[in-house]
Amino acid sequence: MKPADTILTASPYLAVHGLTRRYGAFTALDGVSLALRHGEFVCLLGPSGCGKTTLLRQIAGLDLPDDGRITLQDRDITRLPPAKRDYGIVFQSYALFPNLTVADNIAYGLTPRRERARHRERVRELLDMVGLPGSEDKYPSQLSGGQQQRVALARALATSPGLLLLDEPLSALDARVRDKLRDELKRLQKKLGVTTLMVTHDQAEALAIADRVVVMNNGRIEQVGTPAEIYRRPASRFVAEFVGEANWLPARRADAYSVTVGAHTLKLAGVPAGEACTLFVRPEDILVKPRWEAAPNTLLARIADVSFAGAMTRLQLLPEGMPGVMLIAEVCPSMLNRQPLVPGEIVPIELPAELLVAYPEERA
Amino acid sequence: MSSVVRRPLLARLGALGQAADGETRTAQGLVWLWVALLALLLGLPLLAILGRALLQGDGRLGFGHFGEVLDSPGLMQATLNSFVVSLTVTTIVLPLAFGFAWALMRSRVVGRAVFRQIALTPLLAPSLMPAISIVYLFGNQGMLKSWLDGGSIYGFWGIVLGELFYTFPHALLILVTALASADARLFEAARSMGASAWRQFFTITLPGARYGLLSAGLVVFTLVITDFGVPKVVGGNYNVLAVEAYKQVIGQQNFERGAVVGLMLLLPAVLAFVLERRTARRQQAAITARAVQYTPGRDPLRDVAAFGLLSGVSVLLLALLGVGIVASFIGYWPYNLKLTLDHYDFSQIDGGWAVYFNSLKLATATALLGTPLVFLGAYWVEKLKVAGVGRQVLRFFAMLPMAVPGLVLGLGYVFFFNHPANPLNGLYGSLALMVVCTVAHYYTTAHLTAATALKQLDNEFEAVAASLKVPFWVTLRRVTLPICLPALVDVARYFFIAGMTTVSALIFLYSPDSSVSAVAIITIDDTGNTAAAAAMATMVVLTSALVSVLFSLVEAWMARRRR
Repeated sequence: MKPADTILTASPYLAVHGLTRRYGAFTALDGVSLALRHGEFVCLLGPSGCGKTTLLRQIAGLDLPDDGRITLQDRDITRLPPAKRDYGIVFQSYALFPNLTVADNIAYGLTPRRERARHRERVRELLDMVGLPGSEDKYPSQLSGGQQQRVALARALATSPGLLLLDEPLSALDARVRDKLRDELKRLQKKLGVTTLMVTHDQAEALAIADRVVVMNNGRIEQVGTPAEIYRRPASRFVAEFVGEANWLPARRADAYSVTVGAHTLKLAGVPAGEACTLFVRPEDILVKPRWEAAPNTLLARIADVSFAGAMTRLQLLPEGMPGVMLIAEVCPSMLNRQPLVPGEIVPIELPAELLVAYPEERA
Repeated sequence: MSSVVRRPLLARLGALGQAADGETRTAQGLVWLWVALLALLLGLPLLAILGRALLQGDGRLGFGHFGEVLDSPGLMQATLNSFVVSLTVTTIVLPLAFGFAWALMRSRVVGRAVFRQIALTPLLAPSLMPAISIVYLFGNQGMLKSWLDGGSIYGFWGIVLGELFYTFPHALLILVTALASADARLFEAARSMGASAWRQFFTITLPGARYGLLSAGLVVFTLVITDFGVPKVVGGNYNVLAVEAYKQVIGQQNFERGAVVGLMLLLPAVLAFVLERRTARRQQAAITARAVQYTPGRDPLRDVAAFGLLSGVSVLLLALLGVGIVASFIGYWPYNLKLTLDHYDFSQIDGGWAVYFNSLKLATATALLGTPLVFLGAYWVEKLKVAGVGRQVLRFFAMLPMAVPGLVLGLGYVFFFNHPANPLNGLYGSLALMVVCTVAHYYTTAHLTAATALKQLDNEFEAVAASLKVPFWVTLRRVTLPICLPALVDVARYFFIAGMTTVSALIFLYSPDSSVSAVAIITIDDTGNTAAAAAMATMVVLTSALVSVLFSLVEAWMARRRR
C-alpha cells in the first residue's frame, strides 16, 4: 500500500466488526459492523431493545461480545477491561458520586492524586467549559438535573479521552433544558473534536445533533447516513417509520416507474419487483396547489380536517379516487399563495414524483 | 448448531484469561477468597454432619444410624413432640402477631411507635429470659402457681409460652412489612361499592397479607422446632428434638446419633426456607409502583379495639421480660422479698463475672469481624462483574445460614473443628471459634441488609470509575463505603446483639474458659440457682438495650451530618 493511500483512506478511529451478543435465546446484537472517523459525532438511534445500548456497552467494555472485534485506532480492544480502553462515559442517571463535591467528582479520574493544585486548575477549566463556573464546592444533590448532567460531562472529559460515549444523556431532562443542552453538547464536541458515540431513542435529537446517524432494529443496523439521508432517503420501511412522520399508501406496480393507487397512476423514481408495494411520502412533501392544472401525480382531495400546529398547519386529506386512503399533509400557511383552507373544501394536491418512495410489501 | 453456541463461549473463557489485568485478577482472587472462607465457615462443617450421620462403623457410607434413631422410641417421641409444639406455637402466634401488626399499621392509636418498640424487645433477650420468667410466675414457687390448678408449667405449656415470647417479634416484623404495602385505591374502590369494614378486611387486607402470613408461619415454625433454650429450662420431661441433639452429643457423646438428629432438624428448616424465599419473591411482585399509600381514617371503635390488643400483648411481653429482671434483684423468692444485688455477685458461678466479659468480647469481636466480612462479601456479589461462578457460589453461601438452625451449625462445628485430623482443631473451645461460628450463624440477615443498601446505589458508579481508570477498590473506599455507612452500623448492631444473646450454636463450642453469659444462663439454671440465672439474663438484656440505643444515636448523628 502506498503512503498516499493511507492518508486518503485514513483508517477509522473506532471500528466494530461483526459484533454479536446473545443473552440466552435472545440475540441483542447480530453481526454489527460500524466505523467512526476521528472527531465524528455519531448517534445510535432505535427503539428500546434494538441493541443500541448493548453495542455501547460492548464498546465501553462493560459487557463482552460472543463474537466479533472492536478496534480503537487499529488496536484490538475487544477483550480489554474498561480501564485499558480510552473513553469517557456519561449515563442517563448521571451516576455522580453523591458524597463527593462537584470538584471531587470531576477530579475523580485525574492522576496522580497528590497534584491538587493542578487538578483544581483543570476542574475550573472544565466547569467554565460546561457553563457552571464556581460550583466546585457544591454537592450533586444541590444541583438541578441539567446541571448534574453538565458535571457528569465535565467528569467524562476531565482526562481528555479520545472517545466520548453518551448513553441517553438527555432523556431524564425537561424538554426545554434538553434542547439547550443538546445544542451546547454539539458545540462543545465540535470545539474539542472528541470522537463521540451517543445512544438515543429520540429521533429528533439524533437528527439535530449527529454528523451521522446509525438506525438500529432487532440487533442489526438498518441504515447509516447523515441526518438528511436518513430522513429523505430511508433505506427501509422501518427507518422511514421510525424517523419522522410518513404517509403510507397501498399501491400496485404498473411498470418500473409507475404504480396505481385506487384509480390513479403515480410516477416515481423506481418501483421494486413484486405486484404489491407501499408508497411512502412525508407530510411536508405533499404540495397543495393554488389552482387545478392537469399534471402528473396531481389529483383532487377533500379536506377532512384542519389543525393549527404552530409554524405549520396540518391537513387531513381524503384524495378522490383512492377509497379508504387518508393523507396527512403539513403546509406552511405563509408560503401558501391562496385563501385559508377550510374543512370540506376540495383542493388540488401534488405528490411529487422525486419524493415518492416505494417499498416492497411486508410479508406478514 | 451446538458448535455455534459452544465456540464463542470457549473464546470468551480463553480471551478473558489472556486479557485479565491486575485489577481483574484481584477481583477474581477476592471473590474466590471469600468463597473459600465461607466454605470453611459453613460448607465444611455442614458436610461434616452429613459425613458423621452417614459414615458407618465399618467405614462405609449408609443409613445405619438413621435406622437406630428410627428404632429408638424416645427419639421418635421427641420428634412428634417437636412438631406438636411448633405447630401449636405457630397457630397461636400468627393471629396474635397479625392482630398486633394490623393495629400498628391500620389504626390511629396514639403511641404506636412505643408499642412497636415493646413488641421488639424480645429480640434483645436470649430465649432463656422468658423461660426464667415463666419459672418465677408459674414454677413450683411461682406467684401465679395457683392459676394452674395443681398442674405444672414444666412441659408442653411452658415451652409454648416461652416460644410465644421468643418468636413474636420475628413474626411481627414480617407481618408489619406485609401490611405496609396496602394500596389505598383498593379500599376506596371497596368503600365506593358499599363494602363493610369486615368485608374489606376479609377481601383486601387478609388476601394482601397472605404471603406475609405464610412466610411468618414458616419462620416461627422453624425457630421453635430448632430452639433449644426454652425447652431446656422449662421443658421438664417433655422431650423435644433440639434438646435431644444436645443430650446425645454433650451428654452421651453419641456423635453419630446427634448428627442424625441434626439432619432431622435441618430438613424442616431447609423446606421452610425454600418456601419462604419463593413467597417473598411473590410478595414483592404484588406491590405495584403506582400504589397509593393507605392511611387509616377516623374510627373510634376500631381504635379502642386496637388499643386493647396492643396493650394486652405488650403487658404480656413486658411481664415475661420484666419478671425475670425484677426477680434478679429479690433476695430469695418468695420467702425474702428484700431488694438486693447479691445475685449479681456471680461468685458461685464457674468463671464469675469473666463469663459476662467473655460475652462482651464475643459480641464486639462478632461485630468487628462480621461487619467487614459481610459487607465486602455483599460488595463482591453485587458489584464485581468477574468470576460469575464464584459470585453464584458466594450468593448461595450467603443465603445458606438462614436455612441452618444454630444447633445444627454448632454440631457441624463440633464434628469439623474437633476432628483430630483437622489442623485447626486447636481452635476448638476457644472464644475465636465461637466468634466465627456466630458470624456464620447470622450471616444471611446481615448480608441481606448490606446487599439491599448496595442495590440502592447507581449501578453505573463502577462503570464510570472504570472508564476513568480508577480501580474498584478506590471507588469502594471513596464512594461506596461512605454512602453505605448507615447500613454498616445496622449490620454491626445486629451482629453485636446476636453475639450477646445467641445460645444454640455456642452450647457445643464453649469450654470452661470461654463460657459466655447466654450459655451460662443454662448451666446456672441447671444447678438450681434461678436467681443468678435471671441476673445473668438481665445483664444480657441491659447490655443489648444499651448498645442498641447507642447505635441508634450514632445513626441519628450520621443522618444529621448528612443534611
